[in-house]
Amino acid sequence: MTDIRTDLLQKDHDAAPFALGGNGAVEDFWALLKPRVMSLVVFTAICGLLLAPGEIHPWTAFVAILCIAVGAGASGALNMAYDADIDIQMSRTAKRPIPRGAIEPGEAYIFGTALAVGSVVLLGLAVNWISAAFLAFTIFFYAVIYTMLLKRSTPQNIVIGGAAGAFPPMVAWTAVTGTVDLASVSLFLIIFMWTPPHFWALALFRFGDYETAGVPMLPNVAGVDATRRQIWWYSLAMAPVAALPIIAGIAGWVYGVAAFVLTAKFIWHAWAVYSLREGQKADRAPKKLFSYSIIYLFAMFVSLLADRAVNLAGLI
Amino acid sequence: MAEDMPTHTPTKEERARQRKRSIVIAWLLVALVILFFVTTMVRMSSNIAMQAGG
Repeated sequence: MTDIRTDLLQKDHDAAPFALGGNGAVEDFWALLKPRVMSLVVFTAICGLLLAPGEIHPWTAFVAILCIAVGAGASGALNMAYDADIDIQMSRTAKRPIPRGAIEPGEAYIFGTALAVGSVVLLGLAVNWISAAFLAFTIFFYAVIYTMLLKRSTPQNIVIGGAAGAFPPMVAWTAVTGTVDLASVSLFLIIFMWTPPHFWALALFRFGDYETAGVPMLPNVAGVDATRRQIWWYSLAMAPVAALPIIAGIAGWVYGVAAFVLTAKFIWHAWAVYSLREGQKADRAPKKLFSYSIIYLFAMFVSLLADRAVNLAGLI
Repeated sequence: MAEDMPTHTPTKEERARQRKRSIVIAWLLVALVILFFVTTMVRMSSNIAMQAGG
């Protein structure tokens, strides 16, 4: 795989030696941070922070969220630096700054490492070292465990690697409480169980891209039918996980009703993916599930906040 | 040896990009100074409040 990377990037470098490196625009460096992923990380982290019991100074809370956001961006930059050789082969990622030649992988490594170290040290100094260690582990998990070890070697890459995207609300929770407990684990599990059906739905209508790049996603290794089956089972498994915040005592019936409706609709979309095998409806089903899955995660965390707000206001 | 090194005169567009990068870095440094200053003040005041309380 290293040879492919060297060949592809060297070919571009030979073609335009001065167009590469040291010349990236501010927008290119911003794109390295994967701002769309970062926005979801920030949102779930804010939820973790607001749901955690205990008090935190508003400024300290702001610094904690900033550090988590920068840490997520650092992970994105390190991921793009390592994956430049496969990004260049996929239509969805070919226009990223490194495949485009705006930024060199070495620059992205330095940029990502500097942000990673900076965010962890600042979180440790300004908030607490437990959450800083947790953030460091999250960055390591995404950049090394997922990107370097799992992504190219197993179709289960997204199942295990999904943990990296699920840690941010726990990091924020730890910033307030200094501990990890069942309630924070329940927030982790909601995202962790959501990740495989979300990405496999994407892979079902993008698996040509992944095959071209040699990334072993489930549809191009186990087949489309096996992926549909896995999406169905994971979606069913999301139902008990959605109830965990109630069991852990951080949510009441407002969240319960919302989670029931939202998860039922998720399962309904997953059933459509599983049961429809031919025709336009079958082609559209994974796209619908993918779009809904984004709304689902957002709505689940909004429901948790709404539940907390209703409780604080003493409306129940 | 130095004479063999390829040289490159930045184009107008490259200079503009470089300038924009420098300005953003400068503002980020200012933001970091403010961030560290306020964080120090917040931590110091909470420590003083804790000592005063008990």
